[in-house]
Amino acid sequence: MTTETVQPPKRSPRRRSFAPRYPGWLTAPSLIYYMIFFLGPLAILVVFSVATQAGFGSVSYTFSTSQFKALNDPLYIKVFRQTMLMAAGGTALTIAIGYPVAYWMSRYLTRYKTLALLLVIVPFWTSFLIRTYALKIILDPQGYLAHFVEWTGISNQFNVLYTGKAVAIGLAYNYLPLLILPVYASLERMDWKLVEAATDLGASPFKAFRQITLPLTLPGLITGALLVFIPMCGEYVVPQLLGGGQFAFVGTVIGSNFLGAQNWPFGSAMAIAFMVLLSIFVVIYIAFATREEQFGA
Amino acid sequence: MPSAGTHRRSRHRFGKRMFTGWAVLVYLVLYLPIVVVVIFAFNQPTAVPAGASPCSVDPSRMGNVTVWNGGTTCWFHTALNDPTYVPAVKTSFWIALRASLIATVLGTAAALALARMKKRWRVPFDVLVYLTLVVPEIVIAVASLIFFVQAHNNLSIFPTLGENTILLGQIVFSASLVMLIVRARFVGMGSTLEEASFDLGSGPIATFRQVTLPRLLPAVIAGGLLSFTFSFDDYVLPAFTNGTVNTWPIVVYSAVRFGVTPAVNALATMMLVVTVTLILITGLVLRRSGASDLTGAPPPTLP
Amino acid sequence: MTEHDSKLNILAPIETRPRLDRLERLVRRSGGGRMTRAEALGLGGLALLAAAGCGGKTSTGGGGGASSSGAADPLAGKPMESNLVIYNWSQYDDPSTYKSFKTENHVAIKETYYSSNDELLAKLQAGGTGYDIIVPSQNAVGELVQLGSLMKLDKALIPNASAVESSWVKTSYDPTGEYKVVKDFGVTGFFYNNKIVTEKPTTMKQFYDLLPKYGKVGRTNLLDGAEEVVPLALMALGYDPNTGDPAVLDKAKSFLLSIRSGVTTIDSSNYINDASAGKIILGQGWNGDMRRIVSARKKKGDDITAVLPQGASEKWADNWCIPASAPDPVAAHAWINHLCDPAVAVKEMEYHNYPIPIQAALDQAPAELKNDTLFNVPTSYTDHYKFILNPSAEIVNARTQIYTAFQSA
Repeated sequence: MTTETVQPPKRSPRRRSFAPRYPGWLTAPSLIYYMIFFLGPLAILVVFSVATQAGFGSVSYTFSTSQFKALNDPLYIKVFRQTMLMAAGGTALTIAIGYPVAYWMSRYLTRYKTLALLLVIVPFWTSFLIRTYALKIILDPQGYLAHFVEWTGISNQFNVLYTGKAVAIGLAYNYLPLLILPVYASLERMDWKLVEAATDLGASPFKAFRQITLPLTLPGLITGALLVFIPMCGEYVVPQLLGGGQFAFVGTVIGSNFLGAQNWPFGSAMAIAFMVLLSIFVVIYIAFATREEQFGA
Repeated sequence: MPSAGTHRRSRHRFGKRMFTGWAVLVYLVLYLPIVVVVIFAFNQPTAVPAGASPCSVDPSRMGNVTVWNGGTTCWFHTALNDPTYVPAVKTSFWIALRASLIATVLGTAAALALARMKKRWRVPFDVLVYLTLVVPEIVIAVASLIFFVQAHNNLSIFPTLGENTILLGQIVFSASLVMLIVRARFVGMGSTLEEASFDLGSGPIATFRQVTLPRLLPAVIAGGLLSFTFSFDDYVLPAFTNGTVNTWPIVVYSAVRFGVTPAVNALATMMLVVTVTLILITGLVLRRSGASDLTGAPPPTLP
Repeated sequence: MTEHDSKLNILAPIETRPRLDRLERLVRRSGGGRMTRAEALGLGGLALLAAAGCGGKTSTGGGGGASSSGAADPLAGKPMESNLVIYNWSQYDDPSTYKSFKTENHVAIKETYYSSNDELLAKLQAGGTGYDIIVPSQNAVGELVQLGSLMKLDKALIPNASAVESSWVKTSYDPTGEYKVVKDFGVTGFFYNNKIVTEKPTTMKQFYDLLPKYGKVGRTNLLDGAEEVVPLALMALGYDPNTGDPAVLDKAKSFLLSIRSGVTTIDSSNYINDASAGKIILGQGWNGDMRRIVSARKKKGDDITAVLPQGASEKWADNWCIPASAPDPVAAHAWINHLCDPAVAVKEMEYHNYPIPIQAALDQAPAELKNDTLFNVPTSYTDHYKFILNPSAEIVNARTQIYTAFQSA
């Protein structure tokens, strides 16, 4: 402990949270970067979405809401709904599988944390396509897993491949690190003594979790959930491979329109409508995260 | 009567066992497809002409390589000598490395400033960041292609389609990823220690270096790793903005039409072996040197 | 990969090589001593030209790009570039083809890949350039011709292409025949497990009608993509696959929705492996793929029967094209010329198992290919088959909408 006298920083009499602020210009590089390399392409999309198609891959620059009106069709509404449901299911599965793993890494590991973390990621350095093919082999109705399931009597017919279940499994598998890492990073700041104290005082482990761990680490969980849910909505490769091309999700339909029909105006309109829809979730998060930051810890 | 301490220890052990069991199960499931990939790197084509090497069979004559037809190791040799595979892997690696480094720096800096910024400035920025995550990749890929082509035609400072356009596009998503992860950690970290350091006279830079950064490191590294993984494995964006450059996912995807040969599996296996070895070596080196493991926890021995 | 050779790159068919060698030896001896091969051949070529006069036969081929025809020849006299950029499907060509081209022409080849025609089109439309050779399917060629994105081929630089059967030169998707050389062609048919499916379907319509029944029994598969699903259904119903008539398209839509319950998967990329493993009991397929499936199943009970449909079905062609913006057009022409050489074409056919319409090459094909109707599809079938085209954006959009409805049902 130093004995040097230090001038305490000036404070207003009403003591508020006084956290050292980082200069705003730290955001400048990313801001400029986004403006050029994200808003640039996005502006192109917006322009397309109010234009009309003038032949293959070319656009007649007008201002027309016809593309958006064309979206207001039961077919596309159904596609949007199916997509959200699929992504919600996939996200729930990913959280159910991944959260306990992140918890384990954070609470019970000491020396091998980094190793465990890296081992989660390593499988994802093989090609996504090869992994998904391997999943196909594993989920094959005449494969070893199927035989095992039927033999142990868990179910008498292992008909998972080319159904929604296979898609959910494939999605959860591919998005697991995207959930585990943020949750882990957030759980790392937990002081586990709090939980031990609570359980000592008679709280059940579940209650301790719900009232202590969960609220303190919610930002990480929400971040992870959103990082998983949002890209899942735009997925089209996994549904194609594991769903046998039977499902028309937003990603698939946008792909068909952009690539197959080269109808950039319609594809852009669909993409923008989709982004607006998803932004609702984003708004909820921002509102939530704002509150959390005010309370701090 | 057992003491509270004994109770706590046994509860702890029970919890630890449950969670460890689950984690082990998850890891097994995670690696099962990888094991399958590795096994099939040794697979043979359905029918090999007498006297010929199994790997010299044309793709159209390979039959079904998703069932086991017997073992061979010649695919490793084929994969290493294929003129497109190894260069594509190298390209993917360098792009991913650069993209993730830049994204980590950009994202961390933004996270630090944003976490404690006035809401007025923060919300629009947040909206921007989330927009980057919300755009379906196919859409941003085509839009980026058009953007880069037009940009290069009008302002030659922009690069032509190639490695640089790939990584410029990928950083948009990766920086947001890092930003969110680091911010979640930063927000939850609390500012007490920093305040204390400040009070004790450390300047902002020293505080950052000695107090904030070490505690933030898990999130920064997590973000960096995720960025690298995303970038390395990315198919859609590079497929449009690559010009004439081949990345590894492009090579694999395009081989699907006529059948992915086990050579692809062989190369994936080799990459796995290299990365796992690197990780193990790094882990050993770090532990030997007594450095804190990357979780930010101090080394066990303190003066 | 570029051998640092002299700048003179000989653009000549493969048969002339022995002649060129002799010419070189002759000139070297008379020139006495040091001369590089290029100089020797260059001198020899000039000598030949002088001897034969302009308008000499193309079969002598020496020198750099001597033109034989009087017709407008914008690429005449241009030297071959040292690079060639090919944008192609992966594993679509025999590695030895690349080797032989590189050896003869000292051109460095760079290849990059796409996994669907749509990707190719989208990329070209959005401004992707730098490609010398692209390999679009017939519907994409039609579109690119309409858009003026393709370079007119200089026939003088691709003498071997005159061996392509005339019916494949001026086609419905390239009426003047100037924008493409057919790489290979195929047809769309279907196959079924003859131990499970007891009927013997012979037309596409019968195939579709069987789907609801067998979809419950095992896995059935349709080829994917709006440009396959809708026109194939139209043809099965007896309509023109390229129609834009809304009433007709509606009929196709209702028909497709009526059989939807019998379709297990809609996939064009993975069915080869799965069918070879016996997992598909009723499915559509391209003839080359079906050939592979049948031969893979021969030892496992020979339970797959492949059918070339009677009546209407699809014929398609993958084509060599040069984009208008190609940076290395002379090398690109040389490549196409190389691929039209019957010796090279035969190797290609053995590699990818699809026919190339060059009679000399077909004659040299091994018997197991020649005698297989799945490879050498008889004209009695193909005469009734039609090309699927992309006539207009409206038609493509209409097909896409029907396809989306079909998928999400």
